[in-house]
Amino acid sequence: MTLLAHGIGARGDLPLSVGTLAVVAGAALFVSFAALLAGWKEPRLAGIAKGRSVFTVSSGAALLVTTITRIAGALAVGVSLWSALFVVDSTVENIAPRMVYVLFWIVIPLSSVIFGDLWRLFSPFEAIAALTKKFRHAQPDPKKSQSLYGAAFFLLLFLWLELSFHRPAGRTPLAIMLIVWIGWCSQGAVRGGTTWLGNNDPLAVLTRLMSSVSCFTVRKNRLVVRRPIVGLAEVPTQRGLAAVVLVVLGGTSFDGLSRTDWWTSLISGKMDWTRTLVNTLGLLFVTALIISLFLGAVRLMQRKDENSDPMFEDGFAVSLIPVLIGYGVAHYFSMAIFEGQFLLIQASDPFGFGWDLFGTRTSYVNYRIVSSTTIAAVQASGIIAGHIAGVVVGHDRALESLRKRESLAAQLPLVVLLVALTMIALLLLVEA
Amino acid sequence: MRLGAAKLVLAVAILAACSGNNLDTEELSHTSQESESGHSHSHDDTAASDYSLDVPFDSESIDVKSSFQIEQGKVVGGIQRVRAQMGEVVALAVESDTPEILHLHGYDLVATIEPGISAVLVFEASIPGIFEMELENAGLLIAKVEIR
Repeated sequence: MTLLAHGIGARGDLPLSVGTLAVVAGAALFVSFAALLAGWKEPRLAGIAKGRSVFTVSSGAALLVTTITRIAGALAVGVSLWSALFVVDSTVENIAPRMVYVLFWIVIPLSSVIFGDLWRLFSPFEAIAALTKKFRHAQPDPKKSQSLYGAAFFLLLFLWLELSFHRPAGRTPLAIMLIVWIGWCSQGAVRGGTTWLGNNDPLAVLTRLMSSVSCFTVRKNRLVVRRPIVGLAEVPTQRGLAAVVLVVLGGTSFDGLSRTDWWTSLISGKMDWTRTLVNTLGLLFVTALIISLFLGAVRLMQRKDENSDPMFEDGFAVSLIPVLIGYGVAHYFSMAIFEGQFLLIQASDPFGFGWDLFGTRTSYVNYRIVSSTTIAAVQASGIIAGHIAGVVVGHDRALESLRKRESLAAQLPLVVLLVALTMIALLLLVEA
Repeated sequence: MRLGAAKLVLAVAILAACSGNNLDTEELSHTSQESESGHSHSHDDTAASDYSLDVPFDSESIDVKSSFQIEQGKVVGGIQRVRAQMGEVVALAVESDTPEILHLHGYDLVATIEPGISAVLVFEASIPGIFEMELENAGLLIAKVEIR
């Protein structure tokens, strides 16, 4: 893994045992076909996705909470940018690499899976959107579906920086990335407000999609509780949804591939831009492979169903969101635990001034805080739970959007695709 | 200078991100500033490692032993995976044709390498996982150490 060589992610996970692989793979296959054969015949998820409102927050309290959280978010973004620009170029002294690759990229999206959309709560760009609201003349029509291709493009660029570029944790690349991101989101927040952010800020899009499985959501100052997973039924079908999900799935898969001995040997001794080139080809190849698998399966379904819906594939991309979460948990759970500790240590003295804000400055990373058995269990459960949820949501989506919805044959390609993606994920974890 | 010193241990001590040598005497003089278990990840320049052992490479108490040679920016024989069980004593020796800093991630063991003199890291396998050992300046991965 590229980052490993640069000081983030010092401890890699042990490979999953072949026994674990067999159990998880068997369960995945069984659940897939059981769901298909014994599954329900009417779409159900949308009906139960409404959830129930637990309590309503007064608009004053909501303003107070979001003011505090967004100031915290602005501080996090600001400290990252400042460190990337002015603090010494080192992953130990400089907090920017871990802020970006651990806090923003892993901790916020993965926590949102449990707690609901945290980036909407903490995003400083949401504050810009709120502050400039009265100056915007033309409010974008929230009903009109916006494209997610812009977000997918930025996510691909980000993944390239993280996984292919030879100095992902360097100050300069991080500073450029942060400036582009802050600039892109700030101008969009001013021009298009919160609707624009939800469809164009790459982190906001990713967090919004991943948090749709959470039990918690907020609708107009109301905290709503619902069953897990069912929120996926409410994810709107947008152009580019498939692109976003596939780009991130491709990146995570390449991350897995780059940890195998085969890939490590391949890039051994290749330095600087040669390394970047080989890793770029690898990233693009894996992403293209995932995209072809998906498009192949979905187009086959579409043909069997004689369906001419232009957004057919974006509709079914929803069933890959839980798979994506499963991949994310399997690959990054331990990194969030270990590097998160390192981030807390660094946060006490973010600029190297000798501060000890949280009293953690002289602490150390406890690599035994979770056992390797626990990590393996979380990895296997993440993959299997993601797979089951994917099958369930895919089946429900099929009942909703297929014309011949009683036809099991039309759904078969989707199940085969999900099984294939799960097997790829498992094999990469066994080869780690 | 011929037999025993061929595998001269330059430094088998822990440093914060390869910032220099750290001999036993220095460790003692720094204890007042360090947290007891603080290894490396504080901002301080030096910290004592829980993991490094003061054992020579040819000692009988070593369970897993591997040597590596770096020539012209490449690992002779390719990248290897060193496997050890928890509790075993592991010794890794690295020789390079250029001056370098050897770093084992996670355990954060650091040693300097001079041409002709190998660096040796000796430690007890006490954290499970996969850890990369690399040449810090070149960013060259030498081996993955898998401990379970």
